[in-house]
Amino acid sequence: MALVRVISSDGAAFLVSQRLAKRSGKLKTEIETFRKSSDNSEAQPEIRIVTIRAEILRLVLQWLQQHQNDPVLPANQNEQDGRGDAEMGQSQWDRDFLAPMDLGIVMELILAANHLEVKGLLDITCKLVESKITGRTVDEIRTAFKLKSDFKGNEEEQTRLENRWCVEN
Amino acid sequence: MSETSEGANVPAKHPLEILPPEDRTSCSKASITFNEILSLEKTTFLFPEVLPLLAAKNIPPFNFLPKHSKCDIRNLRLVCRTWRTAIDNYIQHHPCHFQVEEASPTTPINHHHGLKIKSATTFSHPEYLSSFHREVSSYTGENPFLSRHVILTDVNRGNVQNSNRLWSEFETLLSLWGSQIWYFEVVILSDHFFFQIYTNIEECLALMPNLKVLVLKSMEPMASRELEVDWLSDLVLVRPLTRLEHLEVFSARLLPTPVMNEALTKFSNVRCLQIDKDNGLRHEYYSYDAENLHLPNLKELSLPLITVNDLRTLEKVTWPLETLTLVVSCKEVQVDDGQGDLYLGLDITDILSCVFNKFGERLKNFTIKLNGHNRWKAPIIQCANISLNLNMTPLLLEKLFVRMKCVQMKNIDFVLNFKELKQLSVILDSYQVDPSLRREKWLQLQKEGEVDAILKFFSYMEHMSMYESNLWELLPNLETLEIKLKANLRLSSKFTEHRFIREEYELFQLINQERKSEF
Repeated sequence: MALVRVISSDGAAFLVSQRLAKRSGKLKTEIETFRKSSDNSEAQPEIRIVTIRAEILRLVLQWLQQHQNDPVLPANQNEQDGRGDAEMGQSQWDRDFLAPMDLGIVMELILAANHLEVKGLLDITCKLVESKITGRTVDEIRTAFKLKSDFKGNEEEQTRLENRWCVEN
Repeated sequence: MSETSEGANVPAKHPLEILPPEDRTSCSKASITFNEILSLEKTTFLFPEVLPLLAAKNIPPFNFLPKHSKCDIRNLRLVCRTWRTAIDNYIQHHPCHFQVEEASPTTPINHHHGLKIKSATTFSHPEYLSSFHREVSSYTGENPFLSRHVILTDVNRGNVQNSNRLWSEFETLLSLWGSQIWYFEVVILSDHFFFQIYTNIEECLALMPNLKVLVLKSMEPMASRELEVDWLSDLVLVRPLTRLEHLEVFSARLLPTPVMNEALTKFSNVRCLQIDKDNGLRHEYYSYDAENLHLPNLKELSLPLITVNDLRTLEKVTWPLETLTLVVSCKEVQVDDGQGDLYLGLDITDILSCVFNKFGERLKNFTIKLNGHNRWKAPIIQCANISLNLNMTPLLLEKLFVRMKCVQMKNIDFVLNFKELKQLSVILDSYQVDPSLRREKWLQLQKEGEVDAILKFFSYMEHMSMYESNLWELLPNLETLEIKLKANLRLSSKFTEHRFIREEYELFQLINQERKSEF
């Protein structure tokens, strides 16, 4: 089985099958570029992902492993009508996968999925963030994202004032 | 030494206090320790990076679809300063504000258009402006406009008093907040408002020195009033327009010629210019003097071509255009000897020669809209065997969009001049000659007209068998072909859309070869 070494920003190396890695658009391109530039067809590609740390890269690879037999989706599918694939059928495994995650980690996963071009993972993570934002009060959003207001003086009141006339008319 | 001893007494600062927000993402990835220190802040400092991805997924509240109000966006602005700044930056810098083309059957509204319209602050009633002023009296912030996009329009077009109040209140707003407006759109619906706007245009624009986009639209033809607006010529001489250094996009519909002359002189940094008017670059009474205009940054131009003079003017300009849209008005028709009506307006060969001789070296996107005026009789444009006598090679054109409304072409052989063409879109709007004729009959007529053509195009549209056309061989770089058809004359008729891609053509060829080898 052909393998590829994927190295995270903090130096952790993951040895995965090229078949699995190629489900990421970015890794697929990197592997193909390596193949074209390498004289030795048996050489093992090594790809450094300088923007993703080990914990997140492990999660992405774990998700790819679980979904390795899913059909590969085109990058822009379902975006015109506003329905992501997550809406078309998010599996129980996906829900269990995301459930224990802190929203900070989910945000990192969104950036990683985007960078590595893993559409399915990007869809479900964006959907999760959407569910924590849409229709929620400011306090509910702050609680969900573990955020504290850092507005100074009457800044929050001024922002409320701005919001008052940014309504449809 | 003293510095060291003082430093020893100062408690060590937490890394978050000394680390600029823009560096936190990178630092969190640098080491496990840094990541742990910054872990609680992730939902804050990662939000500006995540926001465009959420918006690209077209999910609420970032899609601004009608079912979602701005309420969610307002809530998000109240979460914390970083989130508010991220949202404001995203909305205020969104490219949709620079897109001035309106939605039509051929350019459907996308969710970005929704963002533009819904995030804009629209002032259409004096009452709304009054209430804005009341609220704003206790506001001490810098910018009260969510997207810095302001639309002014007179909805109560018959009410002169309302129109006066609207303008008066708006002038006050401009004096307070004009410099915060980046995108300004005026939609003029009445004569009274028309005169009010153009009498005060100099003062109005002077109060918005940071404008990036200016759209001036009159919704009713003011062209017949050209002679009435003679006073505007004098006005712009006495009170010339302010030079808008930041203006990138200028779109004007039915703008009085004197103002247009002055505007084109003063808005010399524009990147995109869209002129929509019953008259082209020249006019019987006034000249736009386009050939003398120095617009060194003008990359996108959209304008009507009405007369030969317009074309001669276009030949003289020295603008570095990469995208050009020409709206050709096909008004003149005559009945010939039973062959059908002929179009006798601007010569299509002349137009194409002018465009590609002049701009072919840089032009990448070209749109030509041929607009007939009689829905019941679509004149045939005689353009057989167009061969462009071009001075320069190679032509770089990558996208060509041809729209025919109430006119027909016998063939589109001219596209063969564009060997780099990647995308071809052809729209036939209201193509039926006679309501009694069936579509097949019309296509048959096209087929007969195409007998001498090199490129077999319209005749293959009959059964949408474009993969059998020689188009793909003659244009080796063509990736996509789009065809939209509408047999008009019935209110219910809609466009039918067809898309062809090279990959499918190649597959089609492969299957054909296999079939042949089986035989």
